[in-house]
Amino acid sequence: MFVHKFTVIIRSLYNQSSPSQNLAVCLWVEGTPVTAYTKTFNLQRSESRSISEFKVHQLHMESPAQNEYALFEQKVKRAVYIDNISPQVTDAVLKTALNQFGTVVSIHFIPNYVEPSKIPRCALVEMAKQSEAEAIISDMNNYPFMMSGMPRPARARPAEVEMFDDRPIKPGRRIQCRWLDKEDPDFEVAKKLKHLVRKHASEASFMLKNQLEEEEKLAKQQAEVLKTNYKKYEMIDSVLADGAARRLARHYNFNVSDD
Amino acid sequence: MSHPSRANEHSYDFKWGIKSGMGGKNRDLQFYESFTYDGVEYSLYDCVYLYQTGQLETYIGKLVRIWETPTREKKVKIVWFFRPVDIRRHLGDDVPHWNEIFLASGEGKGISNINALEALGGKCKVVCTSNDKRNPRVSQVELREADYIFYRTFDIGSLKISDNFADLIDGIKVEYFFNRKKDQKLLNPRNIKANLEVRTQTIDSTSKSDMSTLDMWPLKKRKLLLSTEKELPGLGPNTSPPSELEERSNMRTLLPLRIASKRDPEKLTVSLPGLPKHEEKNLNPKDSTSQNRARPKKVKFDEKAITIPDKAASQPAQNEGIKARTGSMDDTRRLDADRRSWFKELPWDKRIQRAHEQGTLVLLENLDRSYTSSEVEDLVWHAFNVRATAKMIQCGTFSSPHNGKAFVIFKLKATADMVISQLNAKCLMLADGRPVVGHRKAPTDPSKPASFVGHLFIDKIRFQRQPEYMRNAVSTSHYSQPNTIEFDLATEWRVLQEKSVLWWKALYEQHSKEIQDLKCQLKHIF
Repeated sequence: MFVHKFTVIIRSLYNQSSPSQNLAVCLWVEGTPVTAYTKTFNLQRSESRSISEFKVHQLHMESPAQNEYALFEQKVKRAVYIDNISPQVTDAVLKTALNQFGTVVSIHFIPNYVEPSKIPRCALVEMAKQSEAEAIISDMNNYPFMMSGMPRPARARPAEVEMFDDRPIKPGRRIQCRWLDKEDPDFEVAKKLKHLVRKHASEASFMLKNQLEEEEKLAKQQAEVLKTNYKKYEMIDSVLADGAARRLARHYNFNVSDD
Repeated sequence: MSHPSRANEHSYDFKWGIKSGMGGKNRDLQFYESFTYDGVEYSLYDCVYLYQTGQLETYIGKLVRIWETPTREKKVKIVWFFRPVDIRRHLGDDVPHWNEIFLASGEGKGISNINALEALGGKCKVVCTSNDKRNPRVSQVELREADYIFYRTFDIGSLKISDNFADLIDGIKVEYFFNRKKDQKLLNPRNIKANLEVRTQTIDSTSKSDMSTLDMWPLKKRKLLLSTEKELPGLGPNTSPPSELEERSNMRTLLPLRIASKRDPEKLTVSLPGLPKHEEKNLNPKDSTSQNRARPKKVKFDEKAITIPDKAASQPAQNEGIKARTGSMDDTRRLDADRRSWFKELPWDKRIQRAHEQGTLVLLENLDRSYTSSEVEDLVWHAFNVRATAKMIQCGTFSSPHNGKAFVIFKLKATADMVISQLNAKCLMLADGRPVVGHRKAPTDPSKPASFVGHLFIDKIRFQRQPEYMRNAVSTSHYSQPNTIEFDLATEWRVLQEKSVLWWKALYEQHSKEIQDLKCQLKHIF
């Protein structure tokens, strides 16, 4: 498995570089702590023997980090991200709610550290099977799902890698960075990019504010609707109860049956 | 039994193992060869982690003596290993192997310490790769499984690194520091399992990725990196104000929480659930004396560390150092109060709140969303040469796809200030053309109940006394049925939800376009 990957690396270098150029090829076993093989060689168009020059047998066939990451990706696929959750929803409520559609393995409420505290809570729920997670997502998209209150429905989406706190490092990735100072030709652009980050952040927070206002408006309006409806039913109830309905019916010669 | 019995005997999982004899001046010390603590079996000459919260790094050392005092205090004597960072001022051009550590040797203070046994944080697999003929060789497998290797010593007297091992290290035969012979149980499965390495994996990966990124980069870029490093002359000394050795030696007098936390009842309950308050008070004086006893040992080393490496250590560091050396017990306690909460980390909520109050919290923005916390720690180490604790903010409904955020906690306010001003004055460019933005931001307290609109109640019904069967019924979550008013209202919500998804999508698309437009102007993307 790894040997395959190994050849891929060589190939890509081979294609990109002009022939007979001195190259430093640095390889590492992905994820495993620094096993780097550095070799400088003269690359010829026709040359493909270079692979054998590396001590392939010393490399692990499968690195533990790769395994770990693969396992983690499975977990992500089994998980559902649920938002629009009321603060009254606890682990237990969420668990009972979703145990109706499968087996809940774990529940993790995502803490909100940077957004305003007004936003609804959200949670990651890991199910036992990927199919269960998929079914929940599609059902909750089709029908409004009520949890600890109504009528605002909870919403489900597929979970993403970035939502998990305990995600392992992606094997093979190395973060690179460099400092730019004022003399650097890119400094101005970088500065603009930084401004852009701020600008975007404030745009997003404005948008968020807007959305929260919309939600509040809808909630208020619905409360009104509900109140009116409730009043109507109450009135009907009371009219029926104190016999006024029957008297009126008799007065207008209506036939009201008592069932 | 002449000694008073202590309740804390039962407050954590602990069992003595094999006794090895009595000792001490009055022959009142009971020595042991092994014990079980927190589910891990330790025996003499095991390599162990000693750790503490708030400190990123654990310390690595070898258990060379284990005993119990007449007052039932459990003590261990530890001969230290140094991480390359600890002695980086004395490394010179030497680039140690990524997981190499150095055995302390020579004459001087700091080679070993007596610590409370409770400071142990797990076993550590250390393999000696020295070619010394007294050292049994290890297999490739063992080597691969090792957490650390060592083949050199660091002489704390002459501050030199050497390949040679003296016959005696801190009065103990050097054979005990080499690998064990095969018939001895060093690498049985249980030991391996016990090798939980707390959070400090990150540090190893720090130094690791440091070197590895260097190695991995094409040569030209490597040069570039080196030159940029040189362009930040002030960085080295300033960024890690308490000089490493000095700080380390302060910390080396590792004491369990009960001393540090006298003024912090909360931490106390965390670490000593079974111990009544008054007991803790009784313990204090004793522990202070033990601290007193241990501290002078380190003093000389402290001073050396300060005078030799750099006189320009920043103000807070000096203050701290002075306080630690000359101050009364009260001072030292204050110094360490926030660093020493043993065994259990404070929850992140509290840690960032506290860090924010102290000004050591920085929010880094515009990272790649897929970075992990430890990668951010690496990045900070790489860019600023300081160690810090980072936490990548988990993405949620309102997280921008273009902007990964992370909270970073530094040790000192001055460091946080430096980081922010560096980020403002210059640009820290990530590989894919993202400049990192850093600023202070008050964290939201997630434990505060979020306000939530949209769940309606009919007031009258809510306050009516519900019949028994209704009160007992578990409120079940459900899909609403299409013939109810609930369904109609819920549909309105769904419409709003879908609308908002579109709003955000449009916004992020525009953001992405704006970012791309600017990125195109970058001349150098690596």
